[in-house]
Amino acid sequence: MNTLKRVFESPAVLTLIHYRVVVILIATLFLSVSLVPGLTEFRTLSLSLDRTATLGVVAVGLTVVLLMGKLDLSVGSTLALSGIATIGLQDQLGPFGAAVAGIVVGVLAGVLNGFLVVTLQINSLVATLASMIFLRALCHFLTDSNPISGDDPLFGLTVSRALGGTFSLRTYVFLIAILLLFIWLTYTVAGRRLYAVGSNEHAATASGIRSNRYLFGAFVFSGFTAGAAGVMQSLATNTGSPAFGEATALTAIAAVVIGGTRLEGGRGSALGTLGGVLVLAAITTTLEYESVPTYYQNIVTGSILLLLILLDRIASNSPRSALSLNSLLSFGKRDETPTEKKQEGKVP
Amino acid sequence: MTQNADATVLAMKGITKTFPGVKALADVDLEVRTGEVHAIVGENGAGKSTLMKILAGVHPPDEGSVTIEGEQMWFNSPLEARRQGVGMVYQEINLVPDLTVAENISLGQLPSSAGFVNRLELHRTAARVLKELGTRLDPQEMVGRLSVSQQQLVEIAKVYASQPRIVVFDEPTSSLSEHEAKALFRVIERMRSNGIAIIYISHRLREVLDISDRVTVLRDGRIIDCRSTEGLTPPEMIRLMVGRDLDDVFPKRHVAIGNPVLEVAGLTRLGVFEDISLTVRAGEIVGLAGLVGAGRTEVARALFGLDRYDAGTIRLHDSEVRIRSPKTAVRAGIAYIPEDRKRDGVALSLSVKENISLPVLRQVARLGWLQRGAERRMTQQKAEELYVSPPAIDRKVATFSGGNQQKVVLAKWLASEPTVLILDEPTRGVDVGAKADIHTIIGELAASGVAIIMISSELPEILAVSDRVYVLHEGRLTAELDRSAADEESVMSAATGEAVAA
Repeated sequence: MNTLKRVFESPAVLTLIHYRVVVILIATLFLSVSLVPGLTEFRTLSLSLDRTATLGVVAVGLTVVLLMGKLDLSVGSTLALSGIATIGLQDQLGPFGAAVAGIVVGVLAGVLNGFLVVTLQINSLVATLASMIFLRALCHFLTDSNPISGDDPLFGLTVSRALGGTFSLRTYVFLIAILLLFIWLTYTVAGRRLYAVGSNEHAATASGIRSNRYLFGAFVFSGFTAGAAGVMQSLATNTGSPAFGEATALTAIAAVVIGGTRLEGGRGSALGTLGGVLVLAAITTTLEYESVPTYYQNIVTGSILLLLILLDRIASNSPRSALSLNSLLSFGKRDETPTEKKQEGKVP
Repeated sequence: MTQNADATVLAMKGITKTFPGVKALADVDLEVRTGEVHAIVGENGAGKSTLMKILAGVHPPDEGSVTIEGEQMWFNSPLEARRQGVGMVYQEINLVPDLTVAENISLGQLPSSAGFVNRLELHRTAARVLKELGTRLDPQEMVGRLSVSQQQLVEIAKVYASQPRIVVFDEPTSSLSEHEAKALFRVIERMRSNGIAIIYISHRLREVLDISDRVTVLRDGRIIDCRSTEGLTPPEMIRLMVGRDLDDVFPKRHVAIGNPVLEVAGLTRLGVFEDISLTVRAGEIVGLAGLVGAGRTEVARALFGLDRYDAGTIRLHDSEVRIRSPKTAVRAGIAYIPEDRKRDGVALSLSVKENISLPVLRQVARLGWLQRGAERRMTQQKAEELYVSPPAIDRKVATFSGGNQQKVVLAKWLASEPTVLILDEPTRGVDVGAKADIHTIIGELAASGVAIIMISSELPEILAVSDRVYVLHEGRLTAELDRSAADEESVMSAATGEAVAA
């Protein structure tokens, strides 16, 4: 036991633990590149990123909610509902108007969650569990439990087609969202206050910060990003389905937590979330290529999640833990749902 | 149980205990005899509670031995200590409100047959115990419906029912009125005459002198003295506890007092406090005294906008303000150093820098963008001014000691340059050195013209530092005493509601 302790407290190991997100990311990417041929080609890379973008956008919103020490389980249902609005309202509002309506639906779902958690003071796990169930039921009710498709499949192509031979629009949306979140959290007054509220709501209030507004805002933001993800996914597949995003909430939470954001709130970063999303994407791509069944992928994901949480505890107990430089640049793959995968097979 | 009155029941020898970074106890000896009330006094952080936690089996000692009636003990858990006859009565109540008095008394050792509770036996035990303690509580009553002092009696009865050899009372009177405390003393007297050794910990020195036979003084984790209580006076005791004269711990700076800054009239929060009127002038330190639960913190919270008030007016610099939220209070120039530092004061997972700049982020930002260089300079300077040690502003607040965390909270509010500063128990849980530092800072603030309200449960602190003292009792002001008129007796009698002045 003591030897183990000494190993864990050696400077080299502590440094590795400190940069655990980067280490895990490099390890998984190394594995991916050595196992999957052609992953380093730009076109493959671009496609892989495209497939992970939807999850990534959801994770951006969840990062803020988790930083607040809260949870939002309803993002998957929100994603499905706003997708249904995006496709189902195309006749009435036109494709562009319907996409806006999809985002509005997401924001409204966020307002509902904010109302439940902040105004009615319901525990966020319970509140968003309820809205998750409720919004999912609404999806089934609106569509009679059948997927709906849009009239113009070409409109949606703009979302997932590579722009000028680089990345797809939604990849850009994801990367820009990460960048904006990074700037917001690091360089603005609002971002700093957000950390303070997440770290200690009472102390933040006692410092003249309106903590409740920030909490409410976090849920609205998470609804907004889930809505945007729903719009992108439904446009890319030209489908609005009540089955979309069934696993999104938990996968996205896993990505955020792997990225070093703590459920207790007050700690986490945008770049960490980028790392977490890419780790999950790389695992999925690799295991998929090796034809490993999904449940094995989930075993790997679960193990990494536990490993990182344990490492996080060691890191936060060690005296030297100041800055967190998980700046990283890389690639990976991740699919969202089988529906999307099929659709993407057709995209040249 | 030994009948010999002078027999030593408990002997703790050479107890040493180190926590990461702190030597909590160094070679401490304690000896308690049958049928005596043995008081342990010392400042916050002197090691009283660590010593008691070792006795209660919460912490194992690093070195030293615990002997009960000549038999050496190694407690690995509170349960083992209890089985060996060590009973603890804490300040907080640990009862199940939805069970009856009788059920609570026997909780953990419910009389049963074949898995069913033997209700007859249960009530018989409770009735016997309550009678022996000389109380008149109904064993069938739900604990949740009892008053705090009655609940405390149930707590004591619960300990007594386990037939302890030693009972430790840790600050038992901090939420009791004088009258209720007297009832408690009668119970303690009964326990003592039944041959139980009592260890009594309290901040109220008068009380300690009245009730105890011998007193052990702890300071900075060491035994300073153990002597008979007879002939001891409060000032002597304070000197023993603090190790220096009061003036060194609570330095009082003489400051010219200016015009009224804060004037409160008829402030009322229904059911909490009523008709509070007070004035604080520039450069003045006003003490707010009273028992726990008298409404001191509640008044402070209302002044800072953390709670609403239902009636009354607040005037700042001769113009009326309506404080609706901490945000409006901060804008108006009021700062509040809260009582519960961990809950309301610091964000532990953030750095010193991030904590200090929190209320003044706007000042180190342009159009919502943080000027990180300016923030760093400002916070570094504040941290150094307030002797935060080490002045490493990138370190997380969680890694600092209680005294330094409190300095971070002070630094945070000084950065906002308040005109009114409300301090709620500013030196609770802080060691003597940091205490003196904090009072030096408070003195400097007063000298710079800040109007200061200070709440403290430590009477010596209030008396040493305040220019004037307001005393609260059950949500009402019962006295306003000038520095010259305020002494332990006048404040306590107003705090217990015995002397009603205006």
